[in-house]
Amino acid sequence: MRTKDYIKDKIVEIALLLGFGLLAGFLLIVFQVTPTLIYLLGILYVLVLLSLFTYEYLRRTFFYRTFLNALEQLDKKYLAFELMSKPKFYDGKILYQALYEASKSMNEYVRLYEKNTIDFKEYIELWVHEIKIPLSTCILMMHNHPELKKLAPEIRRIEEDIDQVLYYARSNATEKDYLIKKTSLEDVVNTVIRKHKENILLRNIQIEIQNVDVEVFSDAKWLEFMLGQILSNSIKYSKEKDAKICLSTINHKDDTTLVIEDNGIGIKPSDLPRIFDKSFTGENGRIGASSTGMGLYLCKKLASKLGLKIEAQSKEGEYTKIYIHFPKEEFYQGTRD
Amino acid sequence: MAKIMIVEDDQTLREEVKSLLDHHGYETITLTNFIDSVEEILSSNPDLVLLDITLPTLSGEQILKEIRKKSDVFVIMLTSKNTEMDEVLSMSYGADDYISKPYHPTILLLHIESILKRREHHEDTLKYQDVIVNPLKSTLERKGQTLLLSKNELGIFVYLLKHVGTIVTRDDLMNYLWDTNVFIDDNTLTVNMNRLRKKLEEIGLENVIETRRGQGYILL
Repeated sequence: MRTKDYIKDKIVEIALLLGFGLLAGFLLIVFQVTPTLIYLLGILYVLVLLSLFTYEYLRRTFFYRTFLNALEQLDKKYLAFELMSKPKFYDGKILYQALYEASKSMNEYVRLYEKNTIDFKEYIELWVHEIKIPLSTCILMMHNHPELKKLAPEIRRIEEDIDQVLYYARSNATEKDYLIKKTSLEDVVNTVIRKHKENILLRNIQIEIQNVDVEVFSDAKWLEFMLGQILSNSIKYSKEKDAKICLSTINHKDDTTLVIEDNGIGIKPSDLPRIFDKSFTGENGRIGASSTGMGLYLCKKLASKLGLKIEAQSKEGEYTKIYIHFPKEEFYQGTRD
Repeated sequence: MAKIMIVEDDQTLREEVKSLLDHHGYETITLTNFIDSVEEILSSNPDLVLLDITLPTLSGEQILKEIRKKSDVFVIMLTSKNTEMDEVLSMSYGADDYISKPYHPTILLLHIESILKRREHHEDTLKYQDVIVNPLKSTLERKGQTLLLSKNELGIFVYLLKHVGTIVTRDDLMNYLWDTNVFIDDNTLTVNMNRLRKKLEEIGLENVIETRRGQGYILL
């Protein structure tokens, strides 16, 4: 609230009051009142006006300044009302009441949507649990009846897609439903490779694992999902001859980095910055192998929830490297303090 | 023969698990009435219980708590809930292992095998003719001679030994190796198989592994 703007806003009142003052002065002269008294009354009148406007100005400025400053520092601006102190002047009270109503109604709406989202997520979780029962049965049936074996790749696809739905729902959830603890990276890597063994063996891809025998801080299940998405890309976009996927770690001062490197078809430089965007399929997505543009998007989203950093490097036609950075223990201790 | 109790409320799944375990030489009992689950489980005195979490009346977790008050029987929790939290909780209630659905048959069998092994951990050796296999040391012993095997060679030998006298396809062998975290490709399998044969010759076992063209391998 600037003084200049305030005066501008009050210009009509000021003009009217000054007009009336001049009129009164003129009348006093007409009735031949002593000039000294006229001057005195004049000065008095101006003083009264000044103090009146200053008082009103200060009262409002104080209220609005406090409010605007608080708003500035607020991360979630829509909570502004919560920081407003009740003003003492009338029009301020009207504003306060109106904002109170608006904010209340907005909160009700937000709560409704929040509830809907949570309900939906819970339904998805329930549905996923349900669908896994017949899926387990199918997998066992394939094993018990070898003539069903050719269903394996299709069932595997269903399994992967179901996982994606589940983690999509989880990635959007507001509440925290992961558990960060010391996790053996080797166990996670082994589990993920085992899960994808059919496709790896089918395409005759060579797997190389180097010093992954380290512990990181993460949620093992989430990490399995993320690694699964990355590995599944490496398999999908592998070349036909001498395909190889290498998983290794690099030990940095502040973090442990897991590198997933393949010698597949790589990513176009123009596509590279966008591979973690939602629904982005790029050049590779159009070459055949089905692609939804969800895998890496979910990886990035889940990674940021877990406090991990994920990056990609690639040379078209030669390789793709995905890096996952796990902060070391000190980092978590630092944030806990 | 180990007795395994299957506690799973989905009938089709229960029957498939039963058929899988029967086929792999386990004695199985299934629970069909979930009203007195705990008593039924304890009275049938199994060596191991496969326990689903979502069950009618009592949940798997509650059953596990009740079982643990009276018995130390091995329990593997099978569940479609797959959060880290569920796993930690189950283990804290006293489960010996935790497998999430959809589980793959070989994984399930391997978990069962490794749990049951804990019971007889002192005699953790396999035998082939007069050869003693020691998986923990990764060695074979025959007439005082000790033969050191690599992880891959041991894996191959153990699998062939489990199916001694029957033909094992390359696919089955690869699947087993991958399930035990030996991620080798086709060529490496051939190389390792040849090395294993040469090593076996060193302790006087000649031509015990035969190649059946177009079918696979057989340990005689």
